[in-house]
Amino acid sequence: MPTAAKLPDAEAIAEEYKNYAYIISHDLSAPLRSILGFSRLLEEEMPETLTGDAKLYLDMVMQSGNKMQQMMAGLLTFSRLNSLAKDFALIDMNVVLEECLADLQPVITARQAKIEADTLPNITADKAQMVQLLSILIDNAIKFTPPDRVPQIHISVQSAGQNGQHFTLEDNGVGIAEKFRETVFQIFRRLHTENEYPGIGMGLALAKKIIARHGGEIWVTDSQFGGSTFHFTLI
Amino acid sequence: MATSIHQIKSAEILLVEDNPGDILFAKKALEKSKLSNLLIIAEDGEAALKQLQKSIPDLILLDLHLPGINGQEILRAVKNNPQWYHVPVLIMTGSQSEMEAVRQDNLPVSGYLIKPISLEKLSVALGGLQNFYLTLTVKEG
Repeated sequence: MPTAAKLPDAEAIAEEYKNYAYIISHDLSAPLRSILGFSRLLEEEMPETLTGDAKLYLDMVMQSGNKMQQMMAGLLTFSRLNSLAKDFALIDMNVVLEECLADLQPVITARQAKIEADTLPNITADKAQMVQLLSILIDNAIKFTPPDRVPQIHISVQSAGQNGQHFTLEDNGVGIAEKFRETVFQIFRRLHTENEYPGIGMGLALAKKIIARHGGEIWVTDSQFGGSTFHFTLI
Repeated sequence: MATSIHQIKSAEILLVEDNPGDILFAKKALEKSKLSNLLIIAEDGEAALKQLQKSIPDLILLDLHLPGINGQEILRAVKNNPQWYHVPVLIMTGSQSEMEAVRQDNLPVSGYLIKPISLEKLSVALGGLQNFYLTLTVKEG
């Protein structure tokens, strides 16, 4: 008598997922390192062989290889959000913000960004992931502000009753058209060309996953300063 | 009056593609196809729509996976606009699922090329379109 196919249990799915992370970090990155390594050797040791379009083609190989390395690192960070997750503890979000600003100091200084924040509350969360979350949102706000404009960011918070705390991060950047406000949180989703704003499109996918792990929600609306407002709730 | 094909005009080709490697590849294939052309590159959907407002090309080479407005939306915009409808569109994609999604729209396209696209495959496809385009042009002449 035929038996119904057995559905994989949660443990098997988690194991498979872990294997993917391993494949990305080890099995796929090794041949990629060789591609990049030997391309560099060719460029450094035998430049005289790169005649005609050969140099251009080699640049393209290296550019694509570097991009793939960044994307694989992004996927690995994404998959490790669960495996390297820490227990939740009571943390001061003002301290979290200070750590983010210290990490982002070179970018903030380079763009002369003005960042203001209300007094933030204590919450129960994974501190390292909160630092990662605020860093992604602040870094994005600065990055997606046209170069001729001084980035201005305002972080505020209000109680959302049973839903915990409602944080908002307003900027004066390029903004996000309404039709992209859901898909912008997908992995590798980009709204601009590499020339306009370089990147791989991983930041907001990471932010969404961090918020989901904390039982909250994240979404984006217009900002009164002409850019975007990112909202998130944390219980 | 007999008119030389090459004197009529060269083809204006709009390449909608964001990947630098694929842009270079398309340029090389166009060189190989010997199709006298003016290649205009739009690196995202918005730039493609702006370019179409400025000038109607003889052919659109369209990648589906683009930042912002994607290739499927561009195809819909082209085929739903009476001024652009006649422009042949050659789809280039690395994703089977994106291609299926476009097929379900049942809009007329001149062909699908699955990435990685060999220089030969693209130049053959362009050559075929070139013949078609020139035949039309000769008839008009």
